[in-house]
Amino acid sequence: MATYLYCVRADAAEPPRGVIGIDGSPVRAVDASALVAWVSDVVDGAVDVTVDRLRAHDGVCAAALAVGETPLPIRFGQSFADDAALIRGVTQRETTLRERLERVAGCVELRVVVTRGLDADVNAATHNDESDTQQEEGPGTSFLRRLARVGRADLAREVACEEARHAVRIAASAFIVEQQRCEATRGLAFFPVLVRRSDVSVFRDMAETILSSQQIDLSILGPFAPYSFSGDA
Amino acid sequence: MDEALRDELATQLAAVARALPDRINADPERVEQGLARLVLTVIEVVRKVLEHQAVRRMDGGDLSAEDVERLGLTLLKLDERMQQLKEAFGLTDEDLQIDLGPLGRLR
Repeated sequence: MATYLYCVRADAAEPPRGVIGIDGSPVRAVDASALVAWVSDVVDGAVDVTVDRLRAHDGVCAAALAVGETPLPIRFGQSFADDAALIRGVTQRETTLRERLERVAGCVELRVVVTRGLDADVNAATHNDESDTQQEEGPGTSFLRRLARVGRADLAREVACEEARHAVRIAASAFIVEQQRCEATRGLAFFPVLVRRSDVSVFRDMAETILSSQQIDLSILGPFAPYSFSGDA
Repeated sequence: MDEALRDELATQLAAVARALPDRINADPERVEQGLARLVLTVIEVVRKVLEHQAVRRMDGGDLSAEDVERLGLTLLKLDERMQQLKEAFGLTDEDLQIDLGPLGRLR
């Protein structure tokens, strides 16, 4: 059995009973140097990524966030030969891990997600790309026009995300501990924000108020364990 | 091949080369899928560059209606063929995603 690592923390909070990790294994705490690691057993060292496993990993990090101090979530797929190897690995990186824990202490991650950009015409076309296809167009021309519309919608979304990020940074700077740049993937763009736990509600209200006038479709998700602020942990 | 297309391909392929894994999983049961993923990722980069160039040229008015249709049909068939290959090797769009660093994600 190998040992799979979910997160490390500076306090001694134990996993609540019933917290289940990857492949249904119970989660336990291991003392590693002066830090505590939340781990579970996995059958072999290489843990391939699947949706269920990603959900399990995130579920454990969410449970860790719900008890005690803010944990440092570890990126998916980190496993060790056994507990002793895990302890050696954490001990070797203790200084770095401590610095990162201090960086996120008392904070959570929120994500401002932009699903539709500023140009309503572009987006309407994207969501309805079959209806406005001219009857006389061949399939090749339709295909290229659809690619063009999707490209314009992606661009509009990314511009909207940058504008939202800028607006939030200016207006809610008092509540932002740290902010990352916008990331884009299929159909959405988002930026992560690190805020103090006590400021989550006020930040959310303020950001929604600021951004409501911008006519872009967005939502603020979280709080999450601070994945985006954990470096390469 | 025009100069802009060649430069864009070279830039993206250089970024892909940096992002590809140093080693391939040599597990006999998975090596085929690993190799397919590697090859299809490179093809996907080239395909996306060609699509961007085609859209750019269509939007720029460089192409006749017949050229647009012919180019679009070629890219449509390539898209369909890629879907078939992904299915055949049990790969998803996400499997062919690659972080191109400052160029962003492949999409």
